[in-house]
Amino acid sequence: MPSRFKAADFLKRSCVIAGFIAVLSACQSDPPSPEHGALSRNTPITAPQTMGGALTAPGPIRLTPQLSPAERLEHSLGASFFHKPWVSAPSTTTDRDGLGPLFNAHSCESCHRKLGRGSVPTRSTRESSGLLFRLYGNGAMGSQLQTRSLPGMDAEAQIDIRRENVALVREFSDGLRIELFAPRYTVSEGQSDASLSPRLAPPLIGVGLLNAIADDDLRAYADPDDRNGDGISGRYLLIQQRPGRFGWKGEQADLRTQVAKAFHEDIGISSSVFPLDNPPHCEMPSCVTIDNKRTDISNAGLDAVSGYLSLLTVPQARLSESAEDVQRGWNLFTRAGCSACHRVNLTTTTHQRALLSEQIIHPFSDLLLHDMGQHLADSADDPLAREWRTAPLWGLGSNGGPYLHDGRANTLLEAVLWHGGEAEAAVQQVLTFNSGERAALLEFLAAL
Amino acid sequence: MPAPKMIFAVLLSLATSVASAAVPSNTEASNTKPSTSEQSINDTYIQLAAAVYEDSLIAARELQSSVGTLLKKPSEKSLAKARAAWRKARVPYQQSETFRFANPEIDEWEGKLNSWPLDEGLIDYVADDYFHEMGNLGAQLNIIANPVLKIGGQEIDARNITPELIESLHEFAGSESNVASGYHAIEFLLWGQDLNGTAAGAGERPYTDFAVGENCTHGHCQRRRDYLQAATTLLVKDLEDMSARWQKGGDLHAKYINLSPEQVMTNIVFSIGSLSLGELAGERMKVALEANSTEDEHDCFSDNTHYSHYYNTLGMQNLFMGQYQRINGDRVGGPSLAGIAKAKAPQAFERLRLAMNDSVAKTNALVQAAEFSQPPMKFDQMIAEGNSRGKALIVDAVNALVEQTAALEALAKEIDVDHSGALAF
Repeated sequence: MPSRFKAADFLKRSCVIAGFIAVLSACQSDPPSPEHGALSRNTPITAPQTMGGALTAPGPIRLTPQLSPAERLEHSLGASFFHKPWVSAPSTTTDRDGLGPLFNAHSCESCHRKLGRGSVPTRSTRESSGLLFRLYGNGAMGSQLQTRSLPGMDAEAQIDIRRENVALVREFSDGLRIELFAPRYTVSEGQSDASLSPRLAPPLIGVGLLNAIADDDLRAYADPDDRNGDGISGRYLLIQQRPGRFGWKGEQADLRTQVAKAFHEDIGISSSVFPLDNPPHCEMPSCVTIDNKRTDISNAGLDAVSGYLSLLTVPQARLSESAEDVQRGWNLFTRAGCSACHRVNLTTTTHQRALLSEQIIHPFSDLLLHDMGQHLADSADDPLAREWRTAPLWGLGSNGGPYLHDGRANTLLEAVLWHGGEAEAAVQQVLTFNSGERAALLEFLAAL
Repeated sequence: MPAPKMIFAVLLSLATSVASAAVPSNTEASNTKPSTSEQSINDTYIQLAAAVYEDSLIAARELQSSVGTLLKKPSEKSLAKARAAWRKARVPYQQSETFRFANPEIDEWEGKLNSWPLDEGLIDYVADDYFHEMGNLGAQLNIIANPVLKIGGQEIDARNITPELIESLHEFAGSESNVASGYHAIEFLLWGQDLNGTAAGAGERPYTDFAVGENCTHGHCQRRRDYLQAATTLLVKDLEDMSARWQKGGDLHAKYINLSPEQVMTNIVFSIGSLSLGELAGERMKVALEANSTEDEHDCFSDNTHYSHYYNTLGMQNLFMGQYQRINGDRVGGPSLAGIAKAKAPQAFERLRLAMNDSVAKTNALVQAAEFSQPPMKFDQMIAEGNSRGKALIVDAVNALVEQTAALEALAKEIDVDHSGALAF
């Protein structure tokens, strides 16, 4: 497949490195390219059946059928470490022990159900779900709240969840009113003085492809000070000199580190990337690994999980179904300006794996952080509170809700209407849509 | 080794029947019943599933009875008999596993029965030397030692160890933390930890762990007895449920009456493909081999893994061929995917038939090495680093299953059975 990578994109950037994990404050001032948001408004969408290049396939997310049975077998270890639960140490199955002592889940699978999106608990974090809480402020509990623990030790806290209050009302020109309910969180056990930032486990669609987007592409997309005056900024965190791209706040620059971080924070599995157990001064059995200088998961294990996730299928879009509505929805989507951030066309860089190399993909995301407004902000004073990474929209139709970072939106329409900040202008456009146009827009999103 | 000969007898007879039945012709049909022309592939599916789950139930009840004897009169002999009953109980159950993958109803249910890996430290004591290192801290982990469990900030009243308690712990604190029940929990209670690493030997729990009064070893014997009894009772109950679901009036029976034959074929391909490649060749063999992990194997406490793998493989062949030999020796079966395949795509059928025979033979080679070679080499010894003979045995079995999967996918394509699901891990 020919690369659409433009060499000129390299040259236009002049980034100031603001330091380790700092919001990029001054970056390039790229004028909006004619392809910004990709396909022009009137281009019929016929191609994006191949949402994820060669990895595109109908059916559930799974290891790509492009691989032969023998090649698929090579991914057993990664699949195993992803799907199977971890147990407490010491266990007879030494390669699967090291759980906790504090953790959110026993396995990757328990949040990323069938490799898809996590669920939201109905009442409390005591239920298993795909929702966890990051913590601002780096207090005693670190950067994440662990709501599970091994017996003999207390979990850090439990959070009760309520959705009673209407936080926002959106009204369409034709009079339709939609009330939007925001979740309220209260600490029901344990203590937490830090502000809570809820995060829902995202579907693991095309993460290998996103990992293979060149750093320079992200730098080229960024426009932190909105120099081009289109009302859209686009920032990224700098992670050891690289633009972040994974996580709801784009906190990790590469897939392997993201996997290691999730193992560490979510399951309590140490690795060479995050060698200390959580909490650092733990005296529980699971922490003997520190003394033994042995990490819970080996480098080979980390590579295996990242490799497995990299080669999962990307759901095939169903854009040919009810084509007229979908086509209309696509036009409305671009007309409202959604594709300014939900960027349609990206191209991966050259990669040793042909399936990931120079693929034209349609994640509908620029992977950058954008100000999403006060209603979606998750803290009063943190500079990142209003910033969220553009959620990729591929697989939206086949993976179901709930949507947004904390799963507050039960429907796609609610998800759209929650957008604020840089997206407010686009939402105002959407609010002018009549019922037929609304239906067409949702039809389009559900076909992705 | 308790009762291997008896099991091997079953094994041999099955392998023989498989070999002769490999040609699903009308001449073979006289061996199976019923074989009326009206019987559909749907009926065969129901018949096989009903039989294999009923067999699993029958064998689990025998295990329950042996456990009763062990608890009534703990001795070397009664423990050995309970262990033998456990091994026998695995024979039909492992053959049933192929039904799991195309049926979410079974897949959701089976975690309670066959969950693995097992968090043994949550159930009972683990290695003594470990406690010396950790002081009292480690002792707080296990359910048997603790009438009050503190998990995730919640206190659970565990004074009475009942099937209900075990079942509730299964669902507790995490969707997949199947820590407390099923075959492997019972296996752990009957054998204890296998502390031999990749050297010879299985778990060596003494029968006195179940003794009443001053003969009790490792403490908390009454609670350990309660646990074993409760876990066994729960196993029987769960199998009663699943068995009933395949009988007339059950939901799975109804489901398969109503599915189109094409959907049944899709399910068969999905099932065999999933178990063959991702689960058995991948998860249960390649991963264990790659990790060289001591006891990273399926039936790790009892060193019964070779039989588990063999009967998994046999179960796949049963489903494809539409036949099953029950634990009492009766044969059931009828119209099969194999029959349809043979008529529609004889070459692709022949490739798969040979591949399945080879898979059965190569997993049987694991059984031969583990039970009848001198000295026997168990699966956990085979995976030891530097054991080239053991590695070769496993690699052969893995390769046979890979070829079986490739042959299955080729066949499915040729006879237009949607097999995309079979590619899932």
